[in-house]
Amino acid sequence: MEQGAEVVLNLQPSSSVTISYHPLFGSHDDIMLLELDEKLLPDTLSQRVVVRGQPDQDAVLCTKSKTYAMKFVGTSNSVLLIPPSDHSEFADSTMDCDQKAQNQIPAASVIKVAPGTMEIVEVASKLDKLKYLLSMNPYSS
Amino acid sequence: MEIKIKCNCEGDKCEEWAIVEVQGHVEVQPHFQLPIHNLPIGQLCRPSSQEVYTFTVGYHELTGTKVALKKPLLVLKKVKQSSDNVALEVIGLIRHRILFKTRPKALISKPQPTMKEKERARAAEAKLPN
Repeated sequence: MEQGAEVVLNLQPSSSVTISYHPLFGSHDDIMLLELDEKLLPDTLSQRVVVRGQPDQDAVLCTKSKTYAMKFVGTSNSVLLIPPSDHSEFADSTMDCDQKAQNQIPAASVIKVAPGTMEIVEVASKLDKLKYLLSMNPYSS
Repeated sequence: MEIKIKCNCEGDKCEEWAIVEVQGHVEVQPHFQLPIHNLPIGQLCRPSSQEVYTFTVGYHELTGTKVALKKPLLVLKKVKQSSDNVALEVIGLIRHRILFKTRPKALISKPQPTMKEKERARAAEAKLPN
């Protein structure tokens, strides 16, 4: 039985799917969307990217050679987020009779409504911290 | 402070999530008291081979299209590694959204029979000889 994001993304002509609230639907504030350039994807997926910042500063996203400012861009639209069906974190571990009956028709469920996305803009590297750290150990021969 | 972006995806294969985007808010009927979990929102339909979709919510019908995102979106989840150490885990990737950017069209259909009509129909049925 096809379910989840796959069925939405691969919906065949003259067919339909029921969109419903996920059994775990909620605000899920720990889940966020980050908009990235296509060229940053390989580095990000191979764990070469970090988010840095002091508590009193705006966060920056750092790759090996570049720094990007991060900002949250809200939307007034309702962005319904649909995970893939086999996503372990949101997979239904139990299934009662009612759910079994529902699974007979293709369905995709919304886990959360995203309030917006994080966007990045390339900025100059913040070198203050580096200068400060270096100044503590001046070069002497 | 440094937050690592981790990824458990195999190679560049990241699970693709979907977005259905509509204008305004989706609300449940005010008299609906139960938790909304598992509650159907609407029916997403692709009437033809074009990337045109309809989304029927209650008696509203929205018409929209599937669009590829100019830039991909990563779905990140905050994970606690220790008491003061947090990481972000890539749990999905979004490349498309089904966008409904026009106002909904009202579906004019036969109104649901009111209670009175239903009762009358039942009464009429009861009167029928077996």
